[in-house]
Amino acid sequence: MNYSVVIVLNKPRPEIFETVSHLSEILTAYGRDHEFVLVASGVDTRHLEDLPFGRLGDVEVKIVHFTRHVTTGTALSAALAHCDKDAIITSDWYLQFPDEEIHSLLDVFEQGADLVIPWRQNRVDPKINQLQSRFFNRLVQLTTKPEFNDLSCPVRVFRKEMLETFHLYGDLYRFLPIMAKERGYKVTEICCQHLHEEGETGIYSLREYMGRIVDYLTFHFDIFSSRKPLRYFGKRALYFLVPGTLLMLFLLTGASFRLFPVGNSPWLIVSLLFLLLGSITWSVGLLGELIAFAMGRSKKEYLVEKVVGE
Amino acid sequence: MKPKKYLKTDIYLSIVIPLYNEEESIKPLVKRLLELDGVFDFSYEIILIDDGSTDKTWEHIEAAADSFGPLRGIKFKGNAGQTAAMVAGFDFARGELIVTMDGDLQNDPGDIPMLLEKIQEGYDIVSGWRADRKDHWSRVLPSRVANGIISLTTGVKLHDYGCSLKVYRADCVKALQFYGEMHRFFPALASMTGARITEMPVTHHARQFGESKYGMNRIFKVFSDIFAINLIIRFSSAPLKGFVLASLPFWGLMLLFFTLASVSVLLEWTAGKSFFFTIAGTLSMVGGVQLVTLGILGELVVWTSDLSHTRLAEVTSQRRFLNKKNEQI
Repeated sequence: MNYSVVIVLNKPRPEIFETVSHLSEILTAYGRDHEFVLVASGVDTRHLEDLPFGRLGDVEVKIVHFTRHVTTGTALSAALAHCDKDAIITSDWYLQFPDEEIHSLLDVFEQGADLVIPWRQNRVDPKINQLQSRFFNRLVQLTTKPEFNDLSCPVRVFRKEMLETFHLYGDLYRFLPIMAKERGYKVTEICCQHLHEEGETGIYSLREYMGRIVDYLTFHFDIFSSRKPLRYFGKRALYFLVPGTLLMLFLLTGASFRLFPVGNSPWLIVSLLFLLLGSITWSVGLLGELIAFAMGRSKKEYLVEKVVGE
Repeated sequence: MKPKKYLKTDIYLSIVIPLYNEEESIKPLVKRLLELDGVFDFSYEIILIDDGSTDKTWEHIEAAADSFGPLRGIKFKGNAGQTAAMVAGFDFARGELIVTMDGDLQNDPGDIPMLLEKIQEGYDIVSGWRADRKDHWSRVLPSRVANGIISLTTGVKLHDYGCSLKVYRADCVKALQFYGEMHRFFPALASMTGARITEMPVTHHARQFGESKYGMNRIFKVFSDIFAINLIIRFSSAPLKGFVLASLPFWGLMLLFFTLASVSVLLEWTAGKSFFFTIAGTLSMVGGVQLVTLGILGELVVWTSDLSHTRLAEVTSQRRFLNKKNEQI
């Protein structure tokens, strides 16, 4: 097995040379051929070109340059085109784990997993970060099978051919373990001692919160309903249509038998509003169904693992 | 009329069978299929698709493929659903005709020759009809209602859409695009190509092994799919028409409420009434406008997609032409 190490840079990081050298030492000690693909997302790459990567010997360091900031999914998709090895390791611009934990990740991966993710133990980042991270992981666990405990860690090891079967965009990369598991890939999470953290600390910005929640909703819709949009929207439309219809029937009965004045009742407006919302939600599902049908040809819904016979 | 004899290299028939946790069924199923070997005087293949089973289904398929020449096995990475398994079967099939059937032994492979005879009469799809169904009434009743609604709304009249035992002309199904859980609607979708469809009563056995993979919550899903399939069949070439039709009740309500609002002002009813009618009329108008806007978006979707109704129609029109030419010869 040989590895392409992908590191996405969102800010100029001259320290990246130390990280790359260290990771190269770890992989050399493990006896694996490797290369590095650095994705500069809206970052001037001149500081990277000045670094003495030549000292790494035969290890190739490629730089993918985006003139403006892109999401992790897009950065990874671009890096994928430049990865020439069988497996990919994604990492932060600094090393979060001790060498032996990286070796453990590789051990588990080479035993036949398609994707291996670490679960940070005894985390060294501030409590406030841990709390927020735990909140998002719990939120995901609430609505999916609670199999993974740490989806926020960017360190991952996976087969290149596995990633090629996904259309990653936005920040859906965060949910890759769940999506891969859902498709039948062997995904393993192992406990790793957390060593170092250089990420942003404190309460996430409103933008970060909004972004994560939107990502979560996108992921949730994509995995469960994009193949049957009308079932998803139809169910939600019923939440409006059923009370709206019942209320309307009640008011019409009242009006027919002159039980109570209906003409200027605000409940009539509420009922109409519910019927309106229900109809729109249902119609959005119909439109989704049309999109799924029209675009269906370009998407295979199955992944073949083996074929036997002539 | 028997199909003409083919060289062993030209596969005439592909039998596609999706399997999910059917380890006990495979051996008897293959045994039943082997009995057909003497009946078929043309080349054929059997494609067993393991839809991400968690039991030993795949091991049994491998063993069967080792000992039985025309058998191919396809293993999915994970459970992708029956529609995806059938689509994979269509993609891998090399035959001119494709038979699909369940792997739970409820369909009888012995019915295949009869269905093949029928398709030779000039049909593109022959669908099995479990006239004497061996399932509990709680499955049969909703299924009958659903079949009635599908037949009525799509115009493709079949007694049993849910029966997996069907024969298709390969070019007819390969031209179509399937998604989600649409396998029971294949004949209705194929009608978009102008396919000629008929049905024949087939044998149905009670389930011998394992558990049924369906539940009562399927009812909502099937009814939701009926709406979807009708939209696709009737309006996928002109979605705006469908959405404009759906918006008509809202335009009607808008007209009614605005008329009442005007009357209430003219006849000096209470201010509350006139306010209410104006608001209700406006809400109805919002509904109508929203639906029409969605329809315009739908037109954009069809325009930008690779969906070509002309290409779909060409599949059968070409064959009709060829058939006619053959008759003349």
